Amino acid sequence: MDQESSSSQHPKGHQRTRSAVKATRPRSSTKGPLDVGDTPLASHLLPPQTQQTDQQTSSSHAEQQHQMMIPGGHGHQARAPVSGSPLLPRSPAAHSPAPPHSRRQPPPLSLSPAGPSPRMSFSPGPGSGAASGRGAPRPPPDFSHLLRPDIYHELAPLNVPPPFRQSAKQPSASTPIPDLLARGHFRAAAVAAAQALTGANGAPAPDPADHALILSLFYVRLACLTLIDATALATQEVKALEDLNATFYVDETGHNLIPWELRILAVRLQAISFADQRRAVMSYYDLAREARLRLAEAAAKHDNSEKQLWRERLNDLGVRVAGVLVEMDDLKGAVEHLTSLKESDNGSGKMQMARALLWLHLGDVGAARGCVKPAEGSEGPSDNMTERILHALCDMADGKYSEALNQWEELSKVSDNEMIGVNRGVCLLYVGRLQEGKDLLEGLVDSGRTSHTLLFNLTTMYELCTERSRTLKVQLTEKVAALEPTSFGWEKTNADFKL
Amino acid sequence: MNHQRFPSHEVKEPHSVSLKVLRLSRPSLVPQFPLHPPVIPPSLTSPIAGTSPAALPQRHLPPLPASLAYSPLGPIKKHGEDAHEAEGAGGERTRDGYYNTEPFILSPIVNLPPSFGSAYVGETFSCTLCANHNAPPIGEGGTSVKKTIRDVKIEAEMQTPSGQTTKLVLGDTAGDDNAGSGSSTANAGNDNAITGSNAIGSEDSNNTTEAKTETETVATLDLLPPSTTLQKILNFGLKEEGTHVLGVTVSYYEATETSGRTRAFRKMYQFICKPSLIVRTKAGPLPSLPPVKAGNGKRRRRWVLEAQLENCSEDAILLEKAQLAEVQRGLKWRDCNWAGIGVGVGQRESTTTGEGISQQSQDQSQGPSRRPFLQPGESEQLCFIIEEMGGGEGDGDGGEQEEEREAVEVEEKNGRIDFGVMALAWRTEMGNRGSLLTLKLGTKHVKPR
Repeated sequence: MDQESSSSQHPKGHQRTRSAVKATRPRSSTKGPLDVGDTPLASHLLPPQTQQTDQQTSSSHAEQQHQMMIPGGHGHQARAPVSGSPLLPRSPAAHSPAPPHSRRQPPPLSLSPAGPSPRMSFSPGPGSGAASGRGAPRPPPDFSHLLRPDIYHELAPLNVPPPFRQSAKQPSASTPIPDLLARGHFRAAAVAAAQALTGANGAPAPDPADHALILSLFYVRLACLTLIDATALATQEVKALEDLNATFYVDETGHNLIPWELRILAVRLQAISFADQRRAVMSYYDLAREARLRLAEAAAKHDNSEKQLWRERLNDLGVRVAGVLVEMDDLKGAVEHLTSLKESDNGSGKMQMARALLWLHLGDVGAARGCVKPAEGSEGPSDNMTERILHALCDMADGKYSEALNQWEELSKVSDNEMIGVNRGVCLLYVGRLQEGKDLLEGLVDSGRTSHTLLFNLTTMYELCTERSRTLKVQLTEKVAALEPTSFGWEKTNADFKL
Repeated sequence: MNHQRFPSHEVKEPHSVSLKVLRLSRPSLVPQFPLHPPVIPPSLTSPIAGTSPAALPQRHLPPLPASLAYSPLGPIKKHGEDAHEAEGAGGERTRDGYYNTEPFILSPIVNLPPSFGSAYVGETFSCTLCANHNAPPIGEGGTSVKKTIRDVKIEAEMQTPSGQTTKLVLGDTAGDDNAGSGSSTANAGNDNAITGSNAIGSEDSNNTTEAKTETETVATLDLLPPSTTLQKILNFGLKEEGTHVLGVTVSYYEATETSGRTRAFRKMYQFICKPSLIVRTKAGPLPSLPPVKAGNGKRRRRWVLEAQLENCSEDAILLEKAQLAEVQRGLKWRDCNWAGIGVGVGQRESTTTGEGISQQSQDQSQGPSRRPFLQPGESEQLCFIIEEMGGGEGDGDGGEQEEEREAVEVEEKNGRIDFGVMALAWRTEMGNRGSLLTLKLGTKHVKPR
């Protein structure tokens, strides 16, 4: 076509795209997984004689010693490059299809200028680095990427009802974090953790090498965000950690130095942010593999308390996998998985109850009843309680609300547990006794219980019993705000009261 | 005649009684995401950060109480006792343990239904109606005259897509009541059949006793004090697809010191009932069996009835029962599905179809359930074998029938043999029940003897 026509105001017909505006794909390196792990940063900052790079990153049996230069660090102090993470270099070669364990990008580490080039053996995956740690001690990893303020969101109390915001019970800004957690001030603790990490509250930021403190604060931040229903923010902030299985996080004993609780939470948050729950299942299995290795190590050292710790962590992981399967709506899979788990030895009936609840969720009430049977030589009233609770729930699932109510009433004489009270209140609604149910739930609030479920059920009853439910809900916020803060939490959001 | 309606200013005055409704589907188990407590290095006790000491000893600690669905803490103790004392109970089993299933995602505490949800054919629609006396707060604008509300009446009726309107029984309890539609006679015939097929499992015993004591379709209350509620519950079996309209009429007598008047208002609630299971069937002949001794001497014909059930709802369905019902006299059928090995006999009374089915289908707690669990969109194939009895034989299922087996001929109408209907029952989340009967199934391929 004519080139002249393209400049007219009526572009018609075909236009030839000029080459200059053609979208180009960024030039990508042709290096593959077996190639050298050099980052653009590394090639910048390394002095020429240390340009020789590692040759064996791909092997997963990396016990060889190498005169290895850790790129990116020579004479270069703590701050991580502003543009990106220290773990994944900018070059697209990093995103090669090789599995993460077989190729490690050594991150830029802060080196003391006078130190010799340290040797580093590659630990390709969690739990296999037992033999590493030879030679000079590795310099501590640099966590300054978690100290940047831009990864933390603002947490304004926009959705907090006024009685909480204006209450005298709000903590002061200088309250230490453990105190905030103990008294349930989770939003304040999240803010304090972010401030402690970024040095915003006047105190200096932590030493970038102090990974225990930094990661602990980071965990406090993420955990508190999930506790105040700001999980979406947490899923974004967790991205700063990148890949938790990277060698960056492996310490000199070869173990992952991220606190276990943070790894567990990160699995869930990353699965949400990628909208892929299967990742969570895979990650839990990876953690389980590591837990087994640690368990074996502890057994070899005859360290019973550590053995116990890892065993409990393993059991915990098993149940969490079942939870993920439930979230994925694979209920049959969850049932089979939960059935395959060994019951822990303390016989608390927790696993039986968990299996029964899963059957109820699925709809098979008969199987649920069959889950909790009185054990031979049972432990007496406590197992009986589990059974009674379960039978009451099964009656509700069968639509027999009157009978369920009788059972909850009997149970509430023995226990003033919040769950029993709330379930009893719900049953009262289903048998036409709304007023009593409402009074019961209000009584629970008066006695200091404030779970989301209790507030939700109570506000639903408010909506049913009057045209002016908003007045009642506001009164409820005042009542809850007047309660003493406990570790269960104190401050609530508007959504908790359906406002 | 030009009849002019007398405009009354009273119409504009707001009602003292309001109506609120909530659909009472099953309560749901509340999920929880337990978090391990943070291990806080000692340097955190002051905001000044320092280098942390060597690795802290680790223990597997119980989860943060706030991450659980309900509190492990006991009630606030009076007289100065610290509520924090009760915190030690978290994770340990004390006498007042909290019976939480952590770290499992489901907890034993339940939530009321957060929304209307979806209504499906075969389910029971349960709904609570609340007539509330909203006393205006003292000091507000409007009349400060004290009003007494008497003779409150609630009536409800359901209009189905077929145009039929049924007055609803207003009881006190929610429950599965597929037959509880009240005083409409047109449904009565169907109700019996449905009740019969629901009898397995005897789950309706609670409901039938309730139905006897409250057969009224009008709920009344003599006096409704301020800030109180007259609450009633209705249960309606959904049998038709399409738009249903629930109409509720509330009337009351409002008395002040000087005067009184009767007022009434009506509210309509509309919802759509969707199909949940699609049943497709196909019948085909099988080789016939030799005649029985002392029978009518003819070869006994056999057929296979195949069915495909498709879950076209948005919820997962657990199939509890798939059986033939109202099977024609002279035929017997065998269940070749998960319930296994039952033999059912076609009898005169449709309600006793349940007998003769093998015990396996009734015993629900027999090891891991083999009942099919259908995700939305999934299908399940079923198969039944139907054969002629040929008269005069002793049945293999125990023969408890005393009646003589005369040579019952299988009826053929216009070359079509009717087998019976299929009765299906299922459960969805938290045991929510559904059931339906298909139309008469049969075959046109009458194989010559």
